[in-house]
Amino acid sequence: MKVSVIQENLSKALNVVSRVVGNRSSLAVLSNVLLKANLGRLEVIGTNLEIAIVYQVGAKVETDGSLSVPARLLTELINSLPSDKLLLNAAAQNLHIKTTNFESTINGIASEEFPNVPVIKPTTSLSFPAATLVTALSQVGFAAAVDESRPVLSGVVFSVRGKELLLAATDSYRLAESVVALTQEQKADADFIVPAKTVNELIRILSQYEGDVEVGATETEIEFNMGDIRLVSRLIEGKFPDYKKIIPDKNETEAVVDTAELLSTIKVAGLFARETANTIKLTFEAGKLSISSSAAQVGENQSSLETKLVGDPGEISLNAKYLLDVLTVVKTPTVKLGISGKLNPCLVTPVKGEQDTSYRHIIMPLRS
Amino acid sequence: MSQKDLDRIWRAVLGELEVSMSGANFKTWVKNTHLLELGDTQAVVAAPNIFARDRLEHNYNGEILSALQKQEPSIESITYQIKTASTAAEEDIRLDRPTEKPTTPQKTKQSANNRQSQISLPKNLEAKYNFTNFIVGSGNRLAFTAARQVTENPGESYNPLFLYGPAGVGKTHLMWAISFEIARSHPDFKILYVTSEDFTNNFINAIRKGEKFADTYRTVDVLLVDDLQFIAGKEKTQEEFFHTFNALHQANKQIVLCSDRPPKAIATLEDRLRSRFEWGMVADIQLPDFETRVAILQSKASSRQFDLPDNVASHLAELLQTNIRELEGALTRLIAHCQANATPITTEIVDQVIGGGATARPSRTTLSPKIVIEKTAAFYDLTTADLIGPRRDKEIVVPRQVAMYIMREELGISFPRIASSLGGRDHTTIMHGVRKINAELTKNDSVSHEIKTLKQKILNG
Repeated sequence: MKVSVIQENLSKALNVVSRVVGNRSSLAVLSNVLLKANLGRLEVIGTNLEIAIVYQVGAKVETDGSLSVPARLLTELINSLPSDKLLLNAAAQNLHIKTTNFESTINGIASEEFPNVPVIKPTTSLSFPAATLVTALSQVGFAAAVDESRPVLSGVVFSVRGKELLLAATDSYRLAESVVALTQEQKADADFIVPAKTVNELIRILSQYEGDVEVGATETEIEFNMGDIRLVSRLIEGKFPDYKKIIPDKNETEAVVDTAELLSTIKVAGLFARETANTIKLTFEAGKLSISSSAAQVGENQSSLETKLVGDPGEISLNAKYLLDVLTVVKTPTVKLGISGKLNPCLVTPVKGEQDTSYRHIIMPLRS
Repeated sequence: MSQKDLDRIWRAVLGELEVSMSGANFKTWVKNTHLLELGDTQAVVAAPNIFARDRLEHNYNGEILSALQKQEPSIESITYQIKTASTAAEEDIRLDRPTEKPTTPQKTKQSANNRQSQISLPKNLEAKYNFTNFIVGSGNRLAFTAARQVTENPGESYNPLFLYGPAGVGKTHLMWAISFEIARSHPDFKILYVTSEDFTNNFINAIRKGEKFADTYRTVDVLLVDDLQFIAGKEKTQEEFFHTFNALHQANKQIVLCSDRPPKAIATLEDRLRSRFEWGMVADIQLPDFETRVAILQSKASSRQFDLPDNVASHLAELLQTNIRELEGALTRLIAHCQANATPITTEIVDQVIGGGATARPSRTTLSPKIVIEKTAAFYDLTTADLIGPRRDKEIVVPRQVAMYIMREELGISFPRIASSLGGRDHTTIMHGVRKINAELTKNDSVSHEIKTLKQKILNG
């Protein structure tokens, strides 16, 4: 393999790809990235056997070939080189890197040892603008369960329903759902659960990318094509629980408040709730929403916001952190909080026009 | 052919492959496979992901086929499918309040008569240790779920189940709950609960009297071993345990183990035992968080028909942040106090009886550098002389740095003083050590767990 490439381009690719490469794998080759020059293109490939990323880098290929080299070493090395043209030359098991006044050789492992990135024959294909997908994913991704004791909850479910794609995630304390319109109506319904780790990588990549994302899925894998980057991930096996029925369709008490104001009020209340597992109390009264928190050994706090109350007065105790999580991803200037007694979930929705159902978030109350 | 038979055949195949392949390759590609179907000439094997499937098809098919043919000579080819191990039927969604009690079915009347076949299940403990009164919080959810799974399919879901966590967080509670639950659902099962100390003693006695030791242990259906860490360093006992473990595991008998630290962190545990303990499910139990502590207090109080107001419960939970045993002790004292004086329980009484935080945390002044060094040395199976001495082997340097870290963080004493208590090192060595551990803590879970356990040990005296 003999390739010349601009340092910035290779560095950009390595920084994306090496994120998925594990460095504690028992198999040495899995800590490597594969450099592959073929048909006039240079591909940088990394995988942890759950996610694989293939990044195409603009380069001048003189001879084809491939070699895998330790991801961390190569990334750190390329990152610290000056912006210049790099000459990569792989011979036997060594990668030789040369610039005008710099030269180094890295020991690699033959590319045959490196796992093949699967070629997907999708049964479902979708396409939408990157910006739409990244907004929706970042609104639901954080609600997925962190621990994997219930595997299906450790991912975001993608449900294709006619002209809509529903994204949802829950850790069983809260649930987020976001709806994205599809450009093309799909004939068949489909559901797949994408691991939260994959979603996080996607968000990272998509936020740097403009254009359309092509998504293709089979029963066990999903792939995302984003210009020069192709990401393939396993899907989580199993069926995502039917969450629709736990989203309340009617609230006894509703209040519309300013998002930014509520956010800062809750941050303040949260200061007094650190000792009590972030418990804050929301009291809905005519004309105002009061938020209070107290900790026996710290002190207490009370604040209120102006609002128009719809329905009966009521109160509820919530985890301040969960509320902050939602409020930071809601993009509208006002939000609606809806509750039905202190034992039922609290519904948070952004307020745009009269009817807006593209994002819904529910939080279970704390026992108080 | 049942899944059990398939599993048995596959275990034999894996056994052979483990020997013939390199360890890393085996672990990465082959270990998590399963035999799904066995036809006349064709077998279907499940691979955990598409990469593994690809690799098995192209690189290891020959080896796997010939290993399988030794078990089932008629097989001519293998197809590979992607399937992960556990796809239990999906449960219904249910949002939990952040602190919840498990919703176990109503306790049925015990079938108490049929207990002859079991060994050593003291009935009086049943009311105290069951799943119904085990409070689930974020720190123990995984362990709890795993334990429930084990009782539903003993020997099938997680075998062995290895629970670990600091003292007084409910490991023994869960183990008893598992025994009682299995005893109820499988009245004919032989269940044996022992501590590793019992195991050692039985073993020694058996040798002394020339009895057959294997009979007692290898004929049970469920074996539960508590406080496994005490087996460390006892070579003969470990060997016997190894054989017992293998015999039971191969016969698909459920094994449940618990210890105060993960298998990796038990020093002087033989590697073959350690790897076996990690075969099944390793679940940790952490100290209860605030909400769980409140829920525990409330549940304990209500089981004694004592009315515990919410504000008192949260006050107590804030005061006592260590383990459940301590919570329970404090509650008992409070109830006794209030009943003796016929006073209602208030936060003031709590402060008066429990002593308002002053005694809740072990006082730092009673801890001396000497104690920290002794305990750290004991924890890592070293002598104090090792820690204080000049040796710089890795096995000693890390524990030494841990000791520095704890002295600095918990005792808050100066670097030069730590240096002199550790045999007159330079104070910059201490600074480096503390920094090193701090860095490790942020990136290495097992280290942080280890240090947490050790701190617990030191603080609890």
